[in-house]
Amino acid sequence: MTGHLALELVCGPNGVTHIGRQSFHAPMHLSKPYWDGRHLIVQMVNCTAGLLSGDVIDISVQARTGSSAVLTSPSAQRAFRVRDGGPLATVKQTFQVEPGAWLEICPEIFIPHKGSRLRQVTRIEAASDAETLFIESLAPGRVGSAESYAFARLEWAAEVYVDGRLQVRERYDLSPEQKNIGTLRRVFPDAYYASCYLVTPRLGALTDFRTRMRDFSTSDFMMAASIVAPNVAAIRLLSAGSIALRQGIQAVREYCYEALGRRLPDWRKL
Amino acid sequence: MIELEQAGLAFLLQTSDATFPTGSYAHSLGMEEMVQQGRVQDEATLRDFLEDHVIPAAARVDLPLVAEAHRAVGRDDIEDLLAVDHLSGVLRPARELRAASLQTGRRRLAMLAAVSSLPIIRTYQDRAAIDPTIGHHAAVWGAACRGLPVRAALTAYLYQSLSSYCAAAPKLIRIGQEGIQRVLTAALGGAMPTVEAALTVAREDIGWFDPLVDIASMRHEISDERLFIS
Repeated sequence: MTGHLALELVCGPNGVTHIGRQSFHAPMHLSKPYWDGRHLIVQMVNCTAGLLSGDVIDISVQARTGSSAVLTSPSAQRAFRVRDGGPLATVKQTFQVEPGAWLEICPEIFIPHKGSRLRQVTRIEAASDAETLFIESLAPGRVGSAESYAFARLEWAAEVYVDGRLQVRERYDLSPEQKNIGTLRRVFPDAYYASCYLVTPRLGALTDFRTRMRDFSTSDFMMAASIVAPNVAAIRLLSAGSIALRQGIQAVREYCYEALGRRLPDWRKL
Repeated sequence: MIELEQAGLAFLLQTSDATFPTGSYAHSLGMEEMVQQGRVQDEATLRDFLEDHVIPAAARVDLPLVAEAHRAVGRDDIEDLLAVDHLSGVLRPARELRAASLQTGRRRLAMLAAVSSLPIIRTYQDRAAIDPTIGHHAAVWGAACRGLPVRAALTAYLYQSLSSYCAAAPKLIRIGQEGIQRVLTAALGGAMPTVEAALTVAREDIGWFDPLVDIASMRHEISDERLFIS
């Protein structure tokens, strides 16, 4: 299935962000957006069970000048088994954040099922005075079904551009037999992972940012942060289980919103 | 099998020797924090650290970058060399890893410009002199090895990388000189497959997933006790 989701988020003269333009095609769908008084909450929905062999999804979101929005999803995204020789599933997503805009991108966790193969490419383009928080999280598989690190291959790429210049590139091919997966599993047998990028020109003012991120760590959860480029901070999270990871992500969100003087949005999720 | 003329061999020996001033002795590249976390604590765990973290990352990141830079200078393409240099920086997910790559690379480049007759090295140094974000180590190494066999360039880079960790180790853990040499010998035993693997990595696929080292390096930035810059 070849689907897409294209959104343009626009700040109106009353300061309220609304969807200026939208286009989507199955399996992608959009729930009714909700204005919480500060942010437009937009739920991206894959209305099938998940990504299947050969699926191609193209997501493109433009947060126009001064807009304020949160993109999330109502439930975990899944990728299913691809038969030998079958085409992998592909997700391409681009997020553009214009001057003065705020865009949080925080979909629910991605769960690769046994034998799944997926390529995901993410491109974040922010203006130098735009702000964005990007969070993506990865489960080891269906742990409740004794399926951990049983996917076939994940090809992952994420790039962060500020004013058109590449500042961060994350790129990896994961397959369970690799040494990096083995070392990870010696620390947490069912390791969950999340990668976050906070883009803001105000990083210099967040003096306690790195220590706060480190100090959230517990015996079953590791987190750290680094300001890798003038406007870009990277945050890495590793945990023994999904609940610890979810709590860690929530801690990152709460810190970022408070530090940037924003009110944490109400997702209205169950 | 690598065929290397005497002059090329002498150049690699000179520029990978500890007397060639790059400042790499001041960096542990995340290992100090791995020691603090108890993940590296003796000869066996140092060997595991090199085999499980350093060598796979070299195969997927640093060595392919060296090879890309080597190809760029082979074409006298300074703009492509600078693109590889930029990529060498943006692929590092922690500030200290990025800064270490830049500090050692810029020192190496400045010294090479002082002793090399290659025009592209001088052009590279001129560009680095006006832009402090230029001069990442892997790209500088690849550029410096212009005219040498690519496998020799990669093998020498891998050697100096592994030996840097081994030079740092006695300051961090209880290990003797024999232990260090045993670790280095074991690590170098896998060097040739690593070099061959690196040569198959396309530029757009360069990258590696190792959140344990990423987190260690990020935490090292704010560590209260530290011997090394990174």
